[in-house]
Amino acid sequence: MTTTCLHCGSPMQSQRNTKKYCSDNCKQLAFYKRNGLALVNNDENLPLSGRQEIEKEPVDNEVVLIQSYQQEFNEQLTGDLPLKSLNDEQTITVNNSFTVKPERDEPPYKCVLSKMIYSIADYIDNSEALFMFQHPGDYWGIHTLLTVKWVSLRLRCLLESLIKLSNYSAVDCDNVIKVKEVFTALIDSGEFKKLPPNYPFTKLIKELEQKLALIAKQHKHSESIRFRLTTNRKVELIGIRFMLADFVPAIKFSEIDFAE
Amino acid sequence: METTLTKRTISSSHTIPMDVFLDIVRILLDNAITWRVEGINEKENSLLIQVSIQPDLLRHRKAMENMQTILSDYGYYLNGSPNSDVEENEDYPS
Repeated sequence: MTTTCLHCGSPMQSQRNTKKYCSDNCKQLAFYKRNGLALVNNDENLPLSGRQEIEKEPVDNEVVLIQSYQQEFNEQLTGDLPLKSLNDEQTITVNNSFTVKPERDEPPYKCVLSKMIYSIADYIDNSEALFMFQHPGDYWGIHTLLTVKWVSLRLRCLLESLIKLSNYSAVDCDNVIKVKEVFTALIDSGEFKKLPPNYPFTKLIKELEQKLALIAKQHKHSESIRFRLTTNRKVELIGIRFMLADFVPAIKFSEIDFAE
Repeated sequence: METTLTKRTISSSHTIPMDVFLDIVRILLDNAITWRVEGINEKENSLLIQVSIQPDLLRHRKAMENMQTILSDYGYYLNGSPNSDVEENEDYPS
């Protein structure tokens, strides 16, 4: 399908419905523009080295962004002729008994956009983490990068496990406890303590560990529980897993270890 | 002379993750597309549904395209990566 880059306005071909920018360059420039960051040279695709706190856009603006994009997408997808020309179309006669109206007399097709998918796409597009993991050398030195990769490898595995668990109708409490214990081992590891301050998921790892500990405590006498993520949390976990997917390989939960 | 107008239909089966199930059902209901549940995958939290469309109807074709786009996009974010988007657009030498 053909859409328009939201930054430079150039037409682009994409198999994906949620693609907003024609290139990583436009995506990055749009991100900086949204967050009010000035670039030293607008032609260069380099992130700033001053680790500025990026404020999240207010929720209202995010909603407006999604809605305006949806409207634009709808207009592009339907692309129907104006009503005046439709009235001038002749009907096609199939045989003496029937007439069949041409398809253009049908009301225009209204494309359904998935809120979940757009939330995920928006989360990723508004996150600096994607740039960090696509250009890690710009953010971390060689030794720090080893630590970041070590932690991110295990984090990706844990996120995939949590997403899987949330899809099951019922989960053994033991499995939730195992995942919680792995989170605890990760936090207690030497590599985790060496993480740089700009590693984007330190707080998330600790949050998830605390929530899992709470769930395990509340259901310690249950054999199985219904493990569910809120929509926002699921969007966040899917988005982060996606951002880590090119940075570190996937490993099985049974293969996870903490050898440093 | 009696003429019977038969509606040509094409049936296909699709796995629908529960996260996007309501979006898919909205497409099917809005466009009066016949569908039925064929199976439930509890492990993956998904449904297997059979959809029957009339390929001669433009809105049915567009609805099917809409549905497949949603499923493809969901799979892309759940299992794919940023570079997998680049790879699908690249031309590889034969």
